[in-house]
Amino acid sequence: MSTPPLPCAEARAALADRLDDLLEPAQAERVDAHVAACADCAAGLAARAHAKSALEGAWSVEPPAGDLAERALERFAASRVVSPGRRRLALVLSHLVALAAGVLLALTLIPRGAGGAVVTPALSPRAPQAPAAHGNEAEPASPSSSAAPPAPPYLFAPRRIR
Amino acid sequence: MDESFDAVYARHGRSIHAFLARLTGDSVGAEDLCQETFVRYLQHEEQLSSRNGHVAPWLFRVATNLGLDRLRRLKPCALPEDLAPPASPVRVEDPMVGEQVRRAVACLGPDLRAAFLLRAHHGLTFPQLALVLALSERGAKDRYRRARDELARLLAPWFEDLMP
Repeated sequence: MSTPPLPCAEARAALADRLDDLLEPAQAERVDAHVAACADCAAGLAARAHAKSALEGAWSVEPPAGDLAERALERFAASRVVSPGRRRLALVLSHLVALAAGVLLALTLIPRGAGGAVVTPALSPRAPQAPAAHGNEAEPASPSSSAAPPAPPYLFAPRRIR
Repeated sequence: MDESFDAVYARHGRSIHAFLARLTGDSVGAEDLCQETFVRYLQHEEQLSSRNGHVAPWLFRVATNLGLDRLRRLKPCALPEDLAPPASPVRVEDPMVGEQVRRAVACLGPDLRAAFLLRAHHGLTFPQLALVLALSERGAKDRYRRARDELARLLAPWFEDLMP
């Protein structure tokens, strides 16, 4: 069954979309068939095509003044080179990270007492035997460390979660 | 066939610059964005050199994103006073037409402006436009149609032969 011919008003309304290739193939075919048989719509389509190409061609842009390709290559090359300042910053940052890792490791390894204070004698083999007699060799006493029980002899002492 | 950077620039450089100048309305600023587009091409040259036919849409996509980013940082365009209808309509052959088209395009929102320029001035197909704007093909057609209709509305008072 063939499709009915397109009325003039519908064809006219579809001319802009036909020029811009916005119609589905079947719709485009119907418009084309109408335009082929209608002098008014054919003239309308030609006028629109002329206006479209004149408007689109009317706005020219001056080419860039310099050699943008050369400048793009220079920027690309510069982006691949690490500047001395950046290298220094990277070095400082890596040292800081190493230092932070060391501090964390040390805090993990140092056993803590019941009050959460660091019990330094745990690392000393003599500390458990005579804590009171060697008060002058021990860490300066603080209220919490003096009340803490003797540190266990193992290295990874249980830690309180504060 | 692999293309050297010089060949790629020779083929697309001027078009990318013109697109950015039209999109942003700033020819000098467009030079900077155009350079950035090609720096990004150089950063992806290996992947792109094996994808013949995709270089132009890829460049336009990067340029569009850079241009839209630049536009978002600027104040929205106010309708220029002198786009008010003229005393009598002019014909599209009139030398002042280019300036009126430029002003009218500047009144479109950035997304519509990009769609219109890519299709009407740079000849992208709708599948390419869809790729550049990250839309479906239907979405790309709808956006282009909205831009075109808005421009026709803005320019109709100026051009008696725009809508025969």
